[in-house]
Amino acid sequence: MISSLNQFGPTGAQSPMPQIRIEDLKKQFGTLEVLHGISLDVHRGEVVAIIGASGSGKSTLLRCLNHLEIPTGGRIYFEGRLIDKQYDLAELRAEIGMVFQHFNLFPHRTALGNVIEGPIIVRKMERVQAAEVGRQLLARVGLKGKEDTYPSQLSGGQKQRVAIARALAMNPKVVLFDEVTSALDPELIGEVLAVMRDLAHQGLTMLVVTHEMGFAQEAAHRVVFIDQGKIVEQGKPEQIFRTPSYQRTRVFLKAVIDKVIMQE
Amino acid sequence: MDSFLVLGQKYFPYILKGAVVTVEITVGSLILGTVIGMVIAIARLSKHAICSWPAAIYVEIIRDTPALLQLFIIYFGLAGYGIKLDPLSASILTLGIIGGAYLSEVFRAGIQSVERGQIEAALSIGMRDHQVMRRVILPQAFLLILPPFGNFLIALIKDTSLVLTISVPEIMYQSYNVASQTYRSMEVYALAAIIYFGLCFPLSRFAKWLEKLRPPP
Repeated sequence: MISSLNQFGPTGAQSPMPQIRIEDLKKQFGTLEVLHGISLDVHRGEVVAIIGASGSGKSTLLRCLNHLEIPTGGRIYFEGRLIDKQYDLAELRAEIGMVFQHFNLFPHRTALGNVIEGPIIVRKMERVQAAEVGRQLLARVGLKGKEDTYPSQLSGGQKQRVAIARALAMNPKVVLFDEVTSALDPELIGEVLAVMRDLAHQGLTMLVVTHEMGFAQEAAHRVVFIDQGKIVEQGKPEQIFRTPSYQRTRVFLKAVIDKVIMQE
Repeated sequence: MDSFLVLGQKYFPYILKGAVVTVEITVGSLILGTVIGMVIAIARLSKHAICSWPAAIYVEIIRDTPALLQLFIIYFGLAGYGIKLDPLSASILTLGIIGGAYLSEVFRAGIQSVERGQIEAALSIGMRDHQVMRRVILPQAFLLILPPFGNFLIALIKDTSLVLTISVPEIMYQSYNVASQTYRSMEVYALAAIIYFGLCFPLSRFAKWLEKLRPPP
């Protein structure tokens, strides 16, 4: 158990070379430019929360990192290597996990089947060994006993935790979280955030697009505010939330807080 | 004049021999059609126009010309260019080519019905395109494809009757021979109908049953 806890390396250790370097990233859909030149470094073990209104380009930024969207401009380096046409995208994606808003679990496979699919098919691991790792991961996200359950029989929160375990099963160096609690009923959000908080404390490099400001505040090392396809400002959570430098950030944060108060 | 039963006893085995040939043609062209259909479906879904265009043209040409004409082109037409096929091979080839065009549409619809998110999830754990197809898309498309595939199979069995025109001794050809010798068309063709029905009806029920297996949306 200890070894699996430490698989992400030393907590918060920052090497000089960023794990991900984004330079002037642009993405255009037809004539609509969604990202207008984003530059961002993410270091090993860092948890970066990306916040912003819907339609601001946060998800597109995340999806460019594992090339589910192909950028139309700029450069992305993963561990110092430029992601270009020669880069094997399957290899890249095996190193960068992703968790989706709508879970996207494979409905024809059990919880365990979902988790071990990548290790068996992509990593060519023996089934027995993969199942062993898969069971450990499911236990780690609090789903011991659900190994043989199909996704249709799981709650949203459970599905999302299986999806997190599926991403972790590839032993990724970075995991991208794309609004992973947005499709959940309010009472189920907590259990997913708890798992993510755990991963953050264990030193996994995480990029988290989220509307959960509480999570961003306590678990992130850095908060990046994006508006209209550009980074408006970034900094430590307390700085962004308490003393934002820009009017646009203040307006956004106020709108989010008002919405939370309204809901309560 | 013999009664229907006596006539049946005398000629049923002869027509039944045709049924064996009918099944041969069906199985052969179903296998060929499935392979062609799969290739065409994947080609049509390709991002590259160099793959999708020829596939689309193939489907349109097959769909917009009569099956009998296609059979004659392959059997009589090709013979003029030195490609002399025996009637059975020409039948399987023609029906396979036609089946491929129809099945490609069935497969394409099934593949397209799988959510985009499924493909993205598979890609995001590092799967390559063929692994995504084999492990994620096809298993989910399978249940959706089965009922129209069953309907296609029934249509195919009936369409094999066309090859009587190039003297393949299948059900239709055998019955035609018997009818022209006995002048008992109604009875003979009724026998043939019973055989076709016996082949198709269980499949039709099976296809109906498969429709119920569809996963809830």
